[in-house]
Amino acid sequence: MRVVLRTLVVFALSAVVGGSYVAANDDFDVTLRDAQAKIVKIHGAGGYRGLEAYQSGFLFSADGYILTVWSYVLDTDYITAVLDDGRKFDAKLAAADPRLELAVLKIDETDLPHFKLSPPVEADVGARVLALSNLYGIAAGDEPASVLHGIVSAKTRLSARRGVFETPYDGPVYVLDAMTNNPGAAGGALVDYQGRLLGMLGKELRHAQSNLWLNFAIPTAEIAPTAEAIRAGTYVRKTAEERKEKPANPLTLDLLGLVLVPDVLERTPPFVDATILGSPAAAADIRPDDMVLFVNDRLTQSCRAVRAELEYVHRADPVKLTILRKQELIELTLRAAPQSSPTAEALR
Amino acid sequence: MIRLRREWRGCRGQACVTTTQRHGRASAAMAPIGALLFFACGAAPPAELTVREQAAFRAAAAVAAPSVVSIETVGGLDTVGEVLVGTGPSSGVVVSDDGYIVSSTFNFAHRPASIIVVLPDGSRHPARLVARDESRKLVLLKIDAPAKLPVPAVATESEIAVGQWCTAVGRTFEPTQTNVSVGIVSAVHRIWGRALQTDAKISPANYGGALVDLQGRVLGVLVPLSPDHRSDVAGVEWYDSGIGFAVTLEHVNAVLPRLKAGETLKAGVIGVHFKGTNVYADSPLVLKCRAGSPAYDAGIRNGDLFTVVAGRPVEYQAQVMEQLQSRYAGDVVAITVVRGGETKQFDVTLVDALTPYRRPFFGLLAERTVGSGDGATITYVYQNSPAAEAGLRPGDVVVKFQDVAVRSRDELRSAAADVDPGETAKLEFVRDGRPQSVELTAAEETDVIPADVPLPQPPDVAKDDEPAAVKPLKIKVAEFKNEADLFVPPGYRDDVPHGVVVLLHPQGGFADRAIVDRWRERCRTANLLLLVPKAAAEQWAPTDLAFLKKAIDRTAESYRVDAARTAAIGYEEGGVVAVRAAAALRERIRAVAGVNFVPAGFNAENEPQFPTSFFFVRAGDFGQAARARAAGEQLRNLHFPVVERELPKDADDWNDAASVELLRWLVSLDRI
Repeated sequence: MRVVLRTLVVFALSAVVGGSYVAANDDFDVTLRDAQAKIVKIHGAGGYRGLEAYQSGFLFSADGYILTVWSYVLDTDYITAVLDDGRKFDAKLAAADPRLELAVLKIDETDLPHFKLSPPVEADVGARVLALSNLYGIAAGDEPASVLHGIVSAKTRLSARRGVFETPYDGPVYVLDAMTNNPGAAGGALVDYQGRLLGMLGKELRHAQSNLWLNFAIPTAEIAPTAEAIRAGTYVRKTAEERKEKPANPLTLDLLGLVLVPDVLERTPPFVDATILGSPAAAADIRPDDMVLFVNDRLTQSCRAVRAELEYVHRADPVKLTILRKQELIELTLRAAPQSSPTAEALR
Repeated sequence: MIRLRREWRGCRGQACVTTTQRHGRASAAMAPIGALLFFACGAAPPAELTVREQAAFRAAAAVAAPSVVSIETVGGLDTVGEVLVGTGPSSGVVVSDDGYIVSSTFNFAHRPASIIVVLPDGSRHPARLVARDESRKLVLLKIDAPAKLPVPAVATESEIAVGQWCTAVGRTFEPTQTNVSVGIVSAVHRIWGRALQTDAKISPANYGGALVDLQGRVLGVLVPLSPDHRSDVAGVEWYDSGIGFAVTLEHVNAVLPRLKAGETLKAGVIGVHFKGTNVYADSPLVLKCRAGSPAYDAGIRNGDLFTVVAGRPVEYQAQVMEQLQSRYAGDVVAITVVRGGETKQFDVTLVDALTPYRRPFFGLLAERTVGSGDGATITYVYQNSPAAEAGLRPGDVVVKFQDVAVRSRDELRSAAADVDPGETAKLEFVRDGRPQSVELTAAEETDVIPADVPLPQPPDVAKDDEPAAVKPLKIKVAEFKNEADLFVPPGYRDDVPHGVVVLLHPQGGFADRAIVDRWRERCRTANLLLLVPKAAAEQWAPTDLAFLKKAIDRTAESYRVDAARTAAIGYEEGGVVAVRAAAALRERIRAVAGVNFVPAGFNAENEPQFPTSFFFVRAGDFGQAARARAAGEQLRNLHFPVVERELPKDADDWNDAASVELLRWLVSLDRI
C-alpha cells in the first residue's frame, strides 16, 4: 500500500510544519462531519450497460429540497434519496434545468441539515477544497459520503473553446485537482475547509478532442437562482434554445474574397491560397501563404475551423482576422463586400 | 467512519487513447483512496496550518507564473500511434530572457504547421521549434521576445527532497491565468535517472509547465514519461493518476546550449547485452558485445564484467542502465571492467542507434546436444558455402573458433555470430582424431533452403502405438482463460533438444482440426513438438502473448526444447500474432512462418544472440499481397533472412512440395 505510506508522509510533514497547532484543533473533523450530513445518496434508473443507477446530491433547505445533476438516473418515477443517517425517502422531481443540467428533488421531512445557497461563497484559484459525494456508490445506508481533497486548479468557462466540451452548460466552472470525474460523484458538493458550499460537482465530461476527463464543479452563484426559484415555485422552464445561436446570415469566405488552400486533411493549416480581385481580403492586402490564425480572437487550427468560426459572425458585422505572415502576426479588420458585388460574381 | 467496501478501480487512467474504457488502471485510484484515508486516520489538519499552506501554494505559483506561457498550435496530425492528439493549448517555461521557451514534445507530437506562444499578458508571438530532446521528451522554442522575459529561479537537484510540497503550474485554460495542482515530490532519479516524480495531477493541461517548490523556484518541466516506452505520447496513460514526471530545470539548463545550437538530443546506447534478464539481481556481465558498436570499438569484449560506470560502482545491471540511459548520444562514459581478474578502463562514446546487425553465414549444421561436450560435431555442410569451400565435412568436430574453445553447437553459434560478413575467422576441428585448422570468410546470412538438408528418420513406431496420437497434453495456466494442446512426436527422446512449432490459429479457427492434423503429421515426420494454443477470446489479444510465454515455458519444463528451432506459425490473423510473439519473446521464439497475412510490426532489432528467420506463404486470392511483400522487404532491409513463396490459387496451405521445403527450413533454423 504505497498510497497509505504517502498519505501518512504528507500528514507527518504537516505535523512537523504545524508544530504546536496540531493538538489544539479538532474543528476540522466537526466541520467535515457537518458537511457530510448534508449529502444525499440518490438511486434511480440505470444499472446496465455501464450506466450506474446512482448519483449524489445535497440538501439546500431544512424542508427537504435536494440539488443534484439532471441525468438519466432521475428518469424514473422511483427515485430514492438516502440521507447521511441512513433514512430512506421517496424523492419527487420538483423541476430540472436542462441548460444548467441541474435538478431539484423534494423529500417530505423537516429540520434537515442543509447548505446555504446565499450569499454564495466563492473560491479563488489555489483554494483548498473538499469534494463530498457518493462516488462509485461506495457509501450505503448510514455510511457518510466519501471525501476527496484538492485545490481549485483553475476558473474558466467550458465554452472557452467551441466544441471542446460537449455540454449545454457554457458558464464558469471550477476546475479541480481532485478526481471527481467518476461515476456517482456528479451532484455532490464542493465545500471549502470551513464547510461552506462552493458549488456542485459536475457530470462526467471529457474533452472532445483529447478524450481527457475534466474534474469540475459549477459555482454556487450559477446554480443558486434556479434552485431557489424551483423551491419557491417561481421557476419557468428554460430551454437550450436560449443560448446564443448562430446568425441566420453568417459571413463566408466568399463574401470576404478569401480563398484558402484545398481542405484535404482533418487539420489542414489555414493557409491563404488566393484573394479575389477587388474583395475586402484583397483590399486588406491579405496575400497567398498568409495563415489565418485567429478569427475574432478565436484560434482557428484548420481551414475547417475558419469556416466554422465565420458562421458565428453576422455578415453585416466586421470581423477581426489575425494573420501569420512569415514570423509576423498582423491584425486586420474586414467587412463583407456589398451583397451583390459584380466583381466577385464575375470572377467566381 | 468510512469503510472501504470493495476493491477500487481507478478513475480515468485509460482516457486519452481512442478506446474508451470506462474505468482505468488501478494506479489512478490513488487520489481518492489517499483522501479517504486522510479522513479515516482522524488526524485532521489544523485550520491555521491549512490556511498557511494554502497561502504558500498560491504564493509559490504566483512567483513562477510570469515564466509559464501558453502555447497554441495550428494544423498537424490527428493521431499519433493510437493516441488521439489534443489541439492544445499547452504550457511552456521560459528558460532564457531572449525568448527561449522549453516545453514537452507531447504538445508537438502531431507536427503542427505553426506555433504561437501566448505570454501571460495575453500577447501572441509566432514561435519556431529550435530543437528536441528525444530522451527526456522536451522541445525548445524561440520567439522574438518583445522585452526581456522573466527567467524563473532554479531549485537545484541537490536541494530537492522527496516528500516536499510542490505545485504544478500550467497555463492552458486561460492565457492570462495559470492552472495549478498541488502535491509532493514522490521520488527523484526516476525513469532511469531522467526525471523526478510527483503526485500532483499532471496531464495535458500542464505538460510543458513548471513544477515549483514552496519558494516558487522551478524544480522541473512537466513531461509524460514511461519507463518502458519511448514514443512522444508514452506515459500519457498515467495522466492525473498521482504518477507524474518532471525533468529538472537544472538538467534543462545544462543541455540548453546544445539545444540552442539546434542539436537534437537522443538517448545513447553502447551496444552490449548482459547475461541474465533480471536487471535488479543479475550482475552486469557482458554476454554479447556487438562488433562495430561503441563498446566494441572502445575495447569491451564478451565476458567482461562491468564494475564502475561514470565513476559509480555498479553491482547490478539496473545500476548500469541508470547511468547510461540518462545520458545522450555523443556523451563519453568511462567504464571499468574486470576481464580475467584484470581491471581495464575504457572510454565509450554513446551513439543514438547501432548499425543494424548482419549475421554471418558459414554453411554448417552441428549436432544438437543437451549440455556441452568435447566440441560441436558437424552434421551438414551447405553447398558452395564458406564451410564447403574450406573443405569441412560432416563428422568433423569443431573445437575452437577464433581461438576460443567451443564445446557445443550453442557455443559455436554464439562465437560465430560475432564475425561480420566478409571477415575471416579461424576454425579448429578434429577429423579422424587429428586436429586441423582452416580459415573461413563469413558470407551473408542466407535464405536458401537446400534440398538435401537431412530430415530426421521417421521413427520406427507404429502410428497406433503413439501415446500422444490418442490425446494431446493439455496445458493450462492458473490466471489465464487460454489453454493449449501439446503434441509430442513418437520419436521424442529426452537426450536430444527438440524444435517446437507453435501453431497459431486464425480468428475463431481453433476448431479447425484439419490444419492441426496436417501439422501433427509434419511434426511427427520432423520430430518436432507441436504446441497449439487457443486465444482467450474470439480474437487474439496482446494479453494472449503472456499465456504463450507460459505455455512455452511449461513445455520446456517437461520436455527438451531447442529454443534455436522454436517457430511460431500462424494462419491469417494468427500470422500477425506469430510476428508479435517472436518480437516479444525473442528468447523463446526464433522463427516465424505464416500463410496469408501482412507480417508488419516486428518491432525488434536483429541481434547476435537472437537470430530470427521468416517464411511467408501467400496462397489463394490473398488480397493484401502487395502490403505483405512490402513488409517482407522491410525485414530484409534489417538483414533478416526472409523466404517468400506464392502458391497457386487453389492451394490454401503449404502444398506437398512447399511443405517439405518448410520442414527443411524448420530443421535448419540453427544453421551457422
